[in-house]
Amino acid sequence: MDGVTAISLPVPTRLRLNYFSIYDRRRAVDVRFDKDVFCLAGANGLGKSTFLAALNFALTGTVPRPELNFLGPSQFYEECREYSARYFDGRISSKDRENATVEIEFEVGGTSIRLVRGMFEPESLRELSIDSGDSPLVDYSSAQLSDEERHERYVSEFLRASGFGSFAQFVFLQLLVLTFDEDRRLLFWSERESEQALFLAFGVDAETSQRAERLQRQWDKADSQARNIQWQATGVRSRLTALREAVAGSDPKAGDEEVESKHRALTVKQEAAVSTLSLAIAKVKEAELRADAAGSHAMRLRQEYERAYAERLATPRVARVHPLVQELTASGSCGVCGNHHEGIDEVPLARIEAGACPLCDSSLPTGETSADGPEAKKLFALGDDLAVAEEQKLLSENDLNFRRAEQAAAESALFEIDRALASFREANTAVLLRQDGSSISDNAESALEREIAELLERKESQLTRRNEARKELDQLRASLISRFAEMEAKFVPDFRSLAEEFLGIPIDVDLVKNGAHVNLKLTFSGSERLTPDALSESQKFFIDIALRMAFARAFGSEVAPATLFVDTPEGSLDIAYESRAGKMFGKFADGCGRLVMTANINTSQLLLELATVCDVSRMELLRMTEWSSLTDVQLEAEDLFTEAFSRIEEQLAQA
Amino acid sequence: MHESVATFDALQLIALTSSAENGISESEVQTLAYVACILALFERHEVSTWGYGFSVTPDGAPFSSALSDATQTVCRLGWCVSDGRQMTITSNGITELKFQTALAPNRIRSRYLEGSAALALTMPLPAIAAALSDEPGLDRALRFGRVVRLFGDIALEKLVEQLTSLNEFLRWEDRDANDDDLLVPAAMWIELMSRSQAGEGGHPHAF
Repeated sequence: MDGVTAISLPVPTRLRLNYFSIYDRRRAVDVRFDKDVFCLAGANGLGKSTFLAALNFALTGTVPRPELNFLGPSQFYEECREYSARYFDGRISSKDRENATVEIEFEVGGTSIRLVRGMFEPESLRELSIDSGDSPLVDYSSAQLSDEERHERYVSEFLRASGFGSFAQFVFLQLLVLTFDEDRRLLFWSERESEQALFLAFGVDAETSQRAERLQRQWDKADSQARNIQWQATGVRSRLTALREAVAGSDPKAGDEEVESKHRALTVKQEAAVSTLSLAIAKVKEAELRADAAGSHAMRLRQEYERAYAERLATPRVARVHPLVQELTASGSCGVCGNHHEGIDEVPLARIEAGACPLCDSSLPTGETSADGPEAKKLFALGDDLAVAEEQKLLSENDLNFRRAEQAAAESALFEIDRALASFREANTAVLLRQDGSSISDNAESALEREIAELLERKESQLTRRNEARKELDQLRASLISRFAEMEAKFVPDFRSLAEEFLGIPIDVDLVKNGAHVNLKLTFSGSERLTPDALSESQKFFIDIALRMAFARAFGSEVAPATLFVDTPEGSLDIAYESRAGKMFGKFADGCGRLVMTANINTSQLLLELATVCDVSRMELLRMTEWSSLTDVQLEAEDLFTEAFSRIEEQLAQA
Repeated sequence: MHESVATFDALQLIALTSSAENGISESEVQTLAYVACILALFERHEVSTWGYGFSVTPDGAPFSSALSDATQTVCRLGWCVSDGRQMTITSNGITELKFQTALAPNRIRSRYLEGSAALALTMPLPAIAAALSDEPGLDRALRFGRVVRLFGDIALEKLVEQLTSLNEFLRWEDRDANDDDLLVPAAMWIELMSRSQAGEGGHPHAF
């Protein structure tokens, strides 16, 4: 099936990983993708998922943050940034950190790109070269560009060659649609993710998808704000109602004076509490300044003291205290020639007394004794000052802690009195208002009415914004639906044939408007399966993979097949489906699709079946056991690994 | 990390525990310095004021790289001699120690080092090291096979709780000024750790 979109996807041809500590048996790992299926096979914990993550990181500078709530490609790209910069922390040791890089070569839209990215540098590139076919190769690796500028150049050239409207769109597609990774995010049942994928796959152009994303965000924001404002207006309305009820036709009553008196007492208490808190806050600020000053002074003195201490120890020692000389005197044996006799130290000591080194005859420095020279005196003085300063620091810290506790107590007291006052006012609103006079209640009423009117006006404005966004989005969705109708003759059979290869029973998919979104609806054996829990784990994962395969084919072509990236798919399989999964993968690779996958080496039929469908000219199986050291348990089972590998390799050779 | 206090600690511990016949090994210096730090905590000093930290090593003993460097410095400067296993103080070391003890930053810690060294003179060092393995920080690290920084939050809280109980039991804050030999709380605490290991209960009231 030829690609139905104007977008071109990258086709990796080579990947090289340098100084990846997790691959401890190889300083560099270099693989080529020159067959339809590339399968990296190995035991648990050897770094298979890391391999795929590194490949995608090379292309996008991004690693998906687990459990991120997807709102749109731009939000996804932005919110993965910090996670991406530290993802490889546990996989690359600190000594390899600077040297660890990933190098990738790939084709996109007729352009060949080669880049090198540091594993902790999501927004910079160390090397970049681009060959756009119709102009000479341009190498951007020189020092004239900074690493960040090189990355920006890559993004700009990539967008030109691929046809994506934004890099965030590409990152979304590459990581969430074309990659089925260890997080097992389900595209099919994620309204926003699948709608975005549909826009990219079937939208008129990449710009449409971006516009849809922006309109969705505008709608979300306006809708949320309208609801917040309504909630505020409801609150004000309740206050207005309470006020009206309180002042409706009430006369002064007995007991009003007592209420007023209690109210005055509470108000006075509140004012006092506010004043106490203000004072406490001011005292904390003063104490903080004093603690900072004392801490800084003590720190400076400590530095001077340590420096003076070290300088004193570095002063050339008089030779008399040298260990060799000491040993000579103590043991009566020469540490140089081994001779031993009485008085052996007389000559060396005499030379020291004369001011000469007993070994090389150089003049000896006239060092002062250790306890009473100027250095020692300086150290004493600094030590005394330091002891005083540290005592001051401790006192100021204790004082600060005390002041902070005072502030906390004052805050707590104010909170209690505020609560008591509010509660008293609520219980005695009518009395208090009577005492204030009706003019105040009139003012209060008008103010509340005005506030309600303003809130309702703002709410209307947000609703208008929301509805405008909705209207435009509906138009885009309508064009998506009509575009899908044009393309479904190819897309739907594609998806069905892949999914049915796995399931063995009829399945259908259709595009439906689902409230605010446009999504795919699945019909399975004639009945709708609207939620993921309506299917078994194997079924939902592999239907999801089939959907991604269908999307990949929508983007790919005979000339530039799209690549799907799958991480250990057999981990999600019932044994009954293993062979079928292999057939499904083989079918995908047979027409306009390439596969880069990782797999555990076990007795799974998936790889055997895949090897049967493909032959050695179309499938490469790479053993990962040569990259990383095996654990003791794995070493014990190494024969089993070798046997499993050999079976698959034999199958490949026979196919 | 303060080089000066680590050097002083190494020098004083070697001086207090070595004699003409016997020296002290570096690992024993590490153990006694750790006990001295615990005595400082017992008297309610903050652990951050000790001047250097300890980690626990795979063989279960406390270790400070600052202290390790300091023992080498002390030997290099001729203040002690080493036969590769044991270190003994030299006359120059004694002179230097007299000077350094008079430095103000060292005066307070000197008591804790003396208390720790006194403990070593009353019970064998291997017994002290064995009892230490039940100290909350070391115990947690050994139990889970971890290499960790000692006096971290969780373990420190438990240790401080133990030392506070001991402090209150001995009425240490109210003691006579002439009666502040730290050997008593040091020995009691080691005894508590030993009893705790033997499953006999690690509370001061167990006495």
